[in-house]
Amino acid sequence: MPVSKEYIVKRVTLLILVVFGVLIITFVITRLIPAHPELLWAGPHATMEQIERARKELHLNDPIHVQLYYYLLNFVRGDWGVSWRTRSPVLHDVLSALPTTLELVIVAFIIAVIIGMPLGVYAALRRDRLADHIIRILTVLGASVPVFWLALIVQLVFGSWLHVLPAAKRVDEMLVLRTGFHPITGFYLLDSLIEGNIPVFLDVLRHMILPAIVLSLYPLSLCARMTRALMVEVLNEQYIRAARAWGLPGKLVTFKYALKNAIAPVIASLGLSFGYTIIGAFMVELIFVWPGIGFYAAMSLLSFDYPAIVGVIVIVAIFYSVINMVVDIIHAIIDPRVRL
Amino acid sequence: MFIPLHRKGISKTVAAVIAIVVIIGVIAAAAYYIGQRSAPSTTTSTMSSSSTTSASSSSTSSTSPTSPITSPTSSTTKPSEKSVVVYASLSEMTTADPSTEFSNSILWMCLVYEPLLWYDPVHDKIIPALATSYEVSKNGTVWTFHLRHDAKFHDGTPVTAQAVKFALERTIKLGQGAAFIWDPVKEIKTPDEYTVVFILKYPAPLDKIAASSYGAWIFSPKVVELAGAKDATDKKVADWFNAGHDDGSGPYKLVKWDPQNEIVLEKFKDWWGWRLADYPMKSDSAPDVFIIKIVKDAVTQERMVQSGDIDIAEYVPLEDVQTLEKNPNLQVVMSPSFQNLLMFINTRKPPLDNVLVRRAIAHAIPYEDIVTVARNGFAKVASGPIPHGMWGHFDNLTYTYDLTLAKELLTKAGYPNGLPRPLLLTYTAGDIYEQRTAELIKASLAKIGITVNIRPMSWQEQWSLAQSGWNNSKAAQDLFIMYWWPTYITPFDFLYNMFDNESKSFDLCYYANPKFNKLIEEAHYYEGIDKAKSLRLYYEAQKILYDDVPAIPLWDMVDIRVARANIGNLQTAINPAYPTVIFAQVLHVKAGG
Amino acid sequence: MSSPSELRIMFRMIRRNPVSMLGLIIVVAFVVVGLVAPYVLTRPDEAWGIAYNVKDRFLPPSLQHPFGTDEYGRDMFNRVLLGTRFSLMIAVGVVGLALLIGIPVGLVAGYVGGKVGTALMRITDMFLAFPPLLLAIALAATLGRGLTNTIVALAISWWPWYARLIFVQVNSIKNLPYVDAARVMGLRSVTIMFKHILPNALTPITVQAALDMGSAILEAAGLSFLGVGVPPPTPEWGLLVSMGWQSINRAWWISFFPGLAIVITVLGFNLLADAVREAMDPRLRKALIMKGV
Repeated sequence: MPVSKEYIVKRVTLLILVVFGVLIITFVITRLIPAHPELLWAGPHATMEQIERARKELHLNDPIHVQLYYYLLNFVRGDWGVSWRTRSPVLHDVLSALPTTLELVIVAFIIAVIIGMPLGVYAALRRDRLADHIIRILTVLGASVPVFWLALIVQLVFGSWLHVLPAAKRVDEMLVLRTGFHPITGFYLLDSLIEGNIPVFLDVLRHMILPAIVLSLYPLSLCARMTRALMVEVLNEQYIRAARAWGLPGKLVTFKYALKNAIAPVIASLGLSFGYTIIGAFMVELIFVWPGIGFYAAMSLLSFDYPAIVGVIVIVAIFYSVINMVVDIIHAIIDPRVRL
Repeated sequence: MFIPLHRKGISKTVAAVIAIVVIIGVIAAAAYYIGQRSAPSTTTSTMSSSSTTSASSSSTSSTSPTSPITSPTSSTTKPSEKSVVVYASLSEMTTADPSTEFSNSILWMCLVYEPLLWYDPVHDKIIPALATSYEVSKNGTVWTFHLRHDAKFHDGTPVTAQAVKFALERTIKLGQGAAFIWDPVKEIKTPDEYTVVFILKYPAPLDKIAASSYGAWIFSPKVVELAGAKDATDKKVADWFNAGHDDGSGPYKLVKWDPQNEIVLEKFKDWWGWRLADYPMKSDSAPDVFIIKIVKDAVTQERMVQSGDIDIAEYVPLEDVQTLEKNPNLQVVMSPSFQNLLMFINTRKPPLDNVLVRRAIAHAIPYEDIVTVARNGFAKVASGPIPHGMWGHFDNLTYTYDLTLAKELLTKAGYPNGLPRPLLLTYTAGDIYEQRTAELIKASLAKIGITVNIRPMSWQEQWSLAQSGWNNSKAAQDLFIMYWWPTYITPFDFLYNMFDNESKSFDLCYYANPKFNKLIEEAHYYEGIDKAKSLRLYYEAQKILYDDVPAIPLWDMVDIRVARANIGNLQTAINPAYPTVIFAQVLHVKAGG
Repeated sequence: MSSPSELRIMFRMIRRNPVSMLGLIIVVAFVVVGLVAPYVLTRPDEAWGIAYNVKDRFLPPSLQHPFGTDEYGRDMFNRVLLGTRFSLMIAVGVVGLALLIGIPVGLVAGYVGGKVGTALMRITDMFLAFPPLLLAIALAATLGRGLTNTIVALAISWWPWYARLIFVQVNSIKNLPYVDAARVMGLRSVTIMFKHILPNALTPITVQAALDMGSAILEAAGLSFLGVGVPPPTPEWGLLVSMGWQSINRAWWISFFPGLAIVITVLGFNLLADAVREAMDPRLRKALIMKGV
């Protein structure tokens, strides 16, 4: 498919440009902060010569474009600096936290679809009646609630007051020890199933419920909204067409046809809410002490840990762009009508 | 928004699903790959050559989580039959090298390694550890330590004088972390297998130094062999330590090293202390397994100790202490601490170079209110830079909170309407006590016409900003809030590091007073020989600081820990000379809870 | 595309629907309170964070303190009230600044077209390729905390949306017959841009922007919560929620009420936005116009 190849190349180039742009922006950030990295590098008991040597090693005396070159080179080589807070390499911190967050986000999206889609369909079926109004207000509410506030309240009520669900962290480490759980991929739900370790699987699920529900609120609302909008259109069309033709067809046929096309808004809504959900994960993970990249990002921001902040920005931007690109490319492969 | 129907909709589904599966696959593979990388040497070398922000005195790397070195289930008893105590720490563990560690890892190193002596500052008593007794010569420059005969390292070899010499010399040679405490030492001699003699260049309280919280741990010479290294200072030894190995002589062994998430310690059956009937620092019902869990949030720690997920919480929100005290399943343990909070004043930047201005500021700070709001009452208003309970502390060095007096002093200094420019106050971001303190200072100084801009920064940024003030005092901040705590228990640690201009790292008020420097040097000289004289000199030095106000001590910390009620003897397990450490070997673990 | 009668129709539609009326009431109330707040405070010093009251710490909600007090003893009702002013400033500031940057860019790109237009739109696309709040967070973290910095950071991450909207609008307008007529008559490009195209492109954009103010408040609150927005003791709602976090077990009201204020305000904007969007749906409007609304 020659057409698709060109498209892929184009998209990949765009991705590289975006990543380049991100790196430039973060480079500017690192030059603007008032820290003196050579002092930190040489340590508190350093002599003047040691500090000078540090300056040379870090290329701080070189002109700005040379510094940029080394900066980019380091990133490509995988040296993203060391976090001031955790004292470990940023790239390592960030990559090991990524699956943790992904797990949470995926579960949140699943919840959003499982609840959002039926809600949207139901609202469309009961159009302009009480149920529809209620659902519509609820979805608008869902888009108006600040994620961090909701997380605090939910955690307080269900974790502290009612003691129903665990309030924090991802898994009970005592249980991990006792059952000898060893994460393989970093996706605990997958790993525990692979190892046949049901207690840990259930425990992780328990810990995941509250943060996933809170995180799912926004995509859920969006999904319900868009499903409803589409269903309304479809039902209108079908109804009108059918009414004009042979009288009412089986409701089942209408329903099936409408449902098939309802997948589209679901996916579209997930795509739209993806960006906000990532940032939402920052706050949800912070509050529920879920050790993913959102937690890492939030802690880095709170302690002004610039190397880590920069690393997080880069990885999230890359990740976001990659997902968009992959989806679009696969879409282009499958549907050759896509405009280039 | 008009969504196109039919094929495009369906293909987008497939597209998205495929995309997600692909991405999960890639990430899972990457995570797996990361998890497999266990060689810390590769990561370290990349970083040390081109990383921009690591500090050489702190750890050079921490490893990716490795699988347990020895699984806790390897012994004959099942884990559920062993008594386990879980202690939640707010910060991750740093390095595992006993020679260079100067940070959070003290928490477990004091259980896995031992110094020659322990010091109990509350009762001003020296407790024997690896050394059973010691003598000092009349002129204070020759210290002889007698080691006990039955101490063993975890690798099975006995603790001998040569081992002590080996460990301390490695620490001194590497010259990082707390190695400076051994500055007075000229030579270490080992006349026989269980005697160690220190020859000093000048008199110094070596017993306190040997009981230091950092840099005084003894480890086995066998580490060179175990690490496959050439000699003690070979990098391979440090890497071996940081991969999660230990070779100390303490009551616990390091069994799992995951510095970001948890550390697991197991009882060392051959520890000499278990066999001693009346040794103060041991208990017959000490836990078999001691786990340190990293829980980075005080609110969470509180919830976990309430639900029993952890047994001891290092930090809880201080506002909740009253409610927690009423819980019959919990105990709240208050203990003295030698950590205090001070505000450094940039004495070189006008108008703060005027002592009257500094005195005015000192009288415009609401010390009591700060303790109430910032620490919920769990602190003591500071009196001088030496904290309460420490030898060298004096109670008459407080400043009154008197706004009228403050205004008078400002007027006398030539600023009847307050200062002409705003002052920049920095504090460490993320520390809620510093934040509240800063806000109260800002609100209060506004009342005498001083505008203060408060700015949270990472410790690194804050410190390097202050360091740049040595070259250009205009560039640095005006006010700087910082904690201090001693490495070994002596007023010299506080006074030298923070106020002697030779100590450029932490004299961040840029105070340079030769009379003061001489006084504390003399006081330190006599500390090992003539305590009374030493005390008088320390008092004079502090009086100078009181009048000159290069810094304002704000409050002395009181430690609050919350634990399950069945953990007995917790008070004894806490020692202000070893901050954050819970000496697990001293705990009485009762059933239940 | 829009004229006074269109707006009137829109208004009438809003009035018919009780839900959107609620939104309108909330928005109007928000603006009024925001403007008036600094002058009606009963405890202004506490609201601004200058004074503190050690004796009154952690008081639960009561008649004297409808929203309770915080860890400094400050009255939360006053603080939340003053917070309205800051939210208003942020909302107007962010949207205004974003429009200020975005409109010229989009206008020029759309009207001039060709290489210049494509280049401008490519730059815009680069910005849009970022996850929405990430750029704002990065900027805010660099610039440091502060009200202006927060507004600037958010505005810089927002302007591309408006630029793109204007671009699309201008493109569809510039080929309309009356614009051609103007060109034929010899009017200068700039005149055409500003006097003919802009006003018509502007109305839907400004309506959109006004309704976006709700999102601006939400995002600013998020930034403040993460510590890169406004500094304490500014009584911005997001910051107030974060400051109540440590004490949440003892005093839930410190975090609760500011968050509730955010919810209600943003809800108002979103309900209104919903109604407006429905009102602009051509089929619906046609039906209503035919009905003689």
